[in-house]
Amino acid sequence: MVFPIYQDPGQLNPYLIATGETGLIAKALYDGLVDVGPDGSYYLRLARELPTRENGGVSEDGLTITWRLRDDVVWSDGEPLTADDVRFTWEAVTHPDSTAFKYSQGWDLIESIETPDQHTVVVHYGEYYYNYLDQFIGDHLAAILPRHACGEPGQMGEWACNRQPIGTGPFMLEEWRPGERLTLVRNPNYREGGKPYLDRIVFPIVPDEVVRKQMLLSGEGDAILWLNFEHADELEAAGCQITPGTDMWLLRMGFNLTKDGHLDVPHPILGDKLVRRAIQLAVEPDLINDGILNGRGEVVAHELFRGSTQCPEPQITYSEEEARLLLDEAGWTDEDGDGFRECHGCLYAGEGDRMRLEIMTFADPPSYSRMIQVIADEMQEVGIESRTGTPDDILERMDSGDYDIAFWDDGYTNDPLGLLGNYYSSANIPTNNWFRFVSREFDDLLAQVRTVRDPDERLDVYCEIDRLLLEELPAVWLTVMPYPDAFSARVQGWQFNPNDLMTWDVADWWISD
Amino acid sequence: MIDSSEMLRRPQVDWTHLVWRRFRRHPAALGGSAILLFIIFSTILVSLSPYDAKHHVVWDKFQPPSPRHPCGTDSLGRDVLTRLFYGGRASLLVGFATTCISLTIGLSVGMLAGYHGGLVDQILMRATDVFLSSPSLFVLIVASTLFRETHIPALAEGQPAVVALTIGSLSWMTIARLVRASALSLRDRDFVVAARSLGASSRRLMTLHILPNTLGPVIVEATLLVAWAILVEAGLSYIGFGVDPRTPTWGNMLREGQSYLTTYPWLSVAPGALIFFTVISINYVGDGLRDALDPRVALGSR
Amino acid sequence: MTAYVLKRVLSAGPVLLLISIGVFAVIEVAPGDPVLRIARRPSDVSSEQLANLRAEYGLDDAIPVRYLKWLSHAATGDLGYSYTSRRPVVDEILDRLPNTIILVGVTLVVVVILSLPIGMVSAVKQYSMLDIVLTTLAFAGQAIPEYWLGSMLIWLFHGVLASHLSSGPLFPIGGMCSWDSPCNLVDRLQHLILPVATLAFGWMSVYTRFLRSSALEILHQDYITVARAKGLPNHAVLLRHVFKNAGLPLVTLLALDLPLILAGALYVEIVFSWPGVGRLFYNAAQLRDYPLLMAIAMMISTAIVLCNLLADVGYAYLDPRVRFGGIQGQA
Repeated sequence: MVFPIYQDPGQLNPYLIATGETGLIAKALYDGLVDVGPDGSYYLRLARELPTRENGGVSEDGLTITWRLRDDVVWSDGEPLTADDVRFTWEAVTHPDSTAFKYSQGWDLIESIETPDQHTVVVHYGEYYYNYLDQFIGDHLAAILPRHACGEPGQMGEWACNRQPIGTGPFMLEEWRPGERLTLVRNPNYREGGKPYLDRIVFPIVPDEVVRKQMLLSGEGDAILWLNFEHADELEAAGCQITPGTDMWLLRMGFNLTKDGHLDVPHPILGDKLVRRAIQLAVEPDLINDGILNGRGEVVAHELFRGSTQCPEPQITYSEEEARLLLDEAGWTDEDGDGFRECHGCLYAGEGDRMRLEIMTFADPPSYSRMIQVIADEMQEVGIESRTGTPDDILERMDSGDYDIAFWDDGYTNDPLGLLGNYYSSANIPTNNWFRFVSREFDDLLAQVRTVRDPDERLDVYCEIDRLLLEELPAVWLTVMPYPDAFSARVQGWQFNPNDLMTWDVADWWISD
Repeated sequence: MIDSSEMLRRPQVDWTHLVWRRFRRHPAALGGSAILLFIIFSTILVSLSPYDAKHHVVWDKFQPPSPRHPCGTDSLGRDVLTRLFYGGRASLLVGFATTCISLTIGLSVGMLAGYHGGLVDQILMRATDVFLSSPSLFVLIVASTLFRETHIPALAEGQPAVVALTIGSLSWMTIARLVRASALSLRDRDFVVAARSLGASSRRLMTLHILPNTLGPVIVEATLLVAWAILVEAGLSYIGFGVDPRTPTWGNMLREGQSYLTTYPWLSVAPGALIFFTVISINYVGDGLRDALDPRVALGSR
Repeated sequence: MTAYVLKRVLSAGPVLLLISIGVFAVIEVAPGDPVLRIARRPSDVSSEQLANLRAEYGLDDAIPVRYLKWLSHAATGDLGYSYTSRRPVVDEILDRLPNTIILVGVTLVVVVILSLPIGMVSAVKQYSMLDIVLTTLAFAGQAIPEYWLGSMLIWLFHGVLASHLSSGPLFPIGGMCSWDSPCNLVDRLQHLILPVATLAFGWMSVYTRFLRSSALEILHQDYITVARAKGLPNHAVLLRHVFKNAGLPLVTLLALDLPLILAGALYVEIVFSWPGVGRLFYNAAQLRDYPLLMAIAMMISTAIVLCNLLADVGYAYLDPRVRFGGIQGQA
């Protein structure tokens, strides 16, 4: 099977590099203890059973989780998987010298891990962590690493296994020609006999999306990760199989609530909640979805809409009239007749100051710039002078607070705790709380949600948070950005999982001729 | 009394005439000039187009060429033909601005080095060597990000002028060498010595006496430089390191069309074709100028 | 002679040093924080991770300090580690260098083999129909940007003609070798066709014109008339005198044009997904991978300086004034 990818992963250790390509290939090489299936429920990988209170996997106080591993798992080099490997993974990821991506919040909460026998892992949390099931998967990018093949926990950057991975997954790395291709072959020691069906998967590095698409059209290639949705129609017409793609990437307009990043000086225009609400009402997401996304996105106007936290859809009536009224009320009116408003009695700006905002986004993918053009148009319609741009130093400007509105996509797979904390917690200014959103109520709710034991109650708290965000509007959420995956006509056995990368079931794939 | 400077200047009036006569005998150069003028005028007149370069009608996107849109529409429904000539403004502007900057630097460096000689010459030539030995495209790629985000109050970021500055600062070397060689050979000629002995200052000598006589090859080189600069800007924009996409240029349009190469090819064919015609016209003009200005080419042999 | 050579070799050192300072300054001063570009999702990286990474990469030091550190390491051959892959920069480059060399090498061979006869024929049959066609093509070749040419070829063979071919495209456009079948010589050659054609077309145009004018000059020289008068058949005249005298400068021209050829190769590598050094630089520039950028830039600068040096020494060798001492020849 030939699977062209956009860039060379660089390293295959998912804790070190967080690109989609690393995740894609690491998924075929490594396993976590459990993972999330298409319907949102957890299924077993390396664990023998899900730890619950009933089977003693979860202690009374909820602070001790006991994982029982399968005893028939062997690393691709023949060594058996032991509980110590899980311990090693924890040591390496949390080591102060490692610059690992942690993904899951829980890593820092673990006080210690014991391994009473070869196949039992006892995890002691210092604080209650409700998401313990996600601990060793964390956003479909994590993995269990072998102690014997990697190295010292503190030297993760220099491990041999970063480039020569030894894993428990269905495939192992045969050859890696940097910049050119990677080749995976079947892992003879894979725990499920008879699988994987495929002998070999080749990942050529093909940065040009037109060429990748051509490969699928000509039969030279068999799959594409995160296909540019604009090519989806063409591929479908040619008989390729297109998945809906994960719906986790939510497009959002983030507001800088401060002036130049100073926490005590509100943004002259965006500091006023009425203005933000007006912008929300003026920009109708359907326009973006139908006009730019060819209808392949999904209009979702709030943060917590998927995974384990599906909160009620807010009822927003988009109306330019309403937006104009709000702006008038906020003290922004057009006195000089140039079509754009100035401040006359507004909250934070000087008298007569022009209502001018800049919307910036990333240069890649190009559809972003088109989307902000449409957004800017909508804002101009209600009298806000808007400029758009794709500056090279967009991240730096978001960090330093030198921006008005930023546009990008992001989301969570199953549990939003990490994302919410990163973006909206007052402790994370400026990274990643680029909005400089400070809300005591939010921080309290977030702290509260971590301690709630009952899943239903927890959901209530989360939806409380969702409502709060919709009320305060540090950002406006628009639509889901479609990232469909593509398979050629001859690939069979795959199943679409909105909660994971497309190679989650690579062991089941086969080629029909 | 005849003013010596007038005497020195007089032959040049006839010289221009002579050059023009010889230029006229090159059909290719004339053809090139015609095409070039057409393109330049189109970029000026494009403001008369019924379409606005920025006006987008998202529902009209990706229309193939039709009577309404002779070059089709792009991803936001903008008329490609209109954008093509607005883009032409920026691309041509970069070409000419780059050449101006290169000329300024090159003439100064070359003249100073050739005229003064000695230590000044050594230092300036070392500097020229350094610039010549640097991997220009690679440095341009990195330097473009440097200048793009510099907040010069008079220019918006990423504007063509800034890109022109970047490219121009790396392309003056050939002109400098040409001028230096000329200056070296001319500074000891009789008419210069005479002028100097009459008390003319160095600057006057350089600008009024030596410079006009070095102009021949410099003009040719500058013409070709315009074409080269257009190609470089288009290339940089094509890979995303050129002019900011807010301002259309031919290179930017190529970049936008890249993803749709096989599905909506007119987005790539149009800007590329225009680059091609502009550059080839300039090259023909330059070729004609070279023959017209070259004193060694006998009038009968071509 | 030896004095001249020594002088040239010695002046190469400071030139490279100055280039390294200039390039380093441009790379580092340019806006863009490499650490922020590590993760795909902005929210994957926490601020303490960022701080850790910055410290590890030495990004907290002042620029002059960083330059001195780079210089001292480079002097011992340690060019650092790539920020994105964390592999030694030298390994990253060496993995891809052969690919670029293959591309450029084959192109140069094709250019030399084809320009010589075309340029000569053009000169010999001056003003004939053939000459006019060839000269026009040469002008066209110089005016076509190689990135556009590449795209158009891709469109031609995979957009327009693809539907007419039953079993896949005729000319492959991705990479060096087929992905699922064995990578034999024929396969490699097939994959070279389009990239080399794109790169060679522009260069052939330049050299055909040069050879034409240089052959023309020679043909009008007295000694050619003498040779013909002596009774030498035309083809012998051509081969023995014109060919040799026109062809030799070509090689030196090629050496001097090397940086421009590499620039063109960069575009070709990007368009055809060729895994070479040019594309490596392009990716590194997007991600602000400073060590990689410095190393590639310096490597190419060194190559340029060496080529110029060799060309200068070559000329000096041929120029009797320099060879036998006396006036220091000036290039």
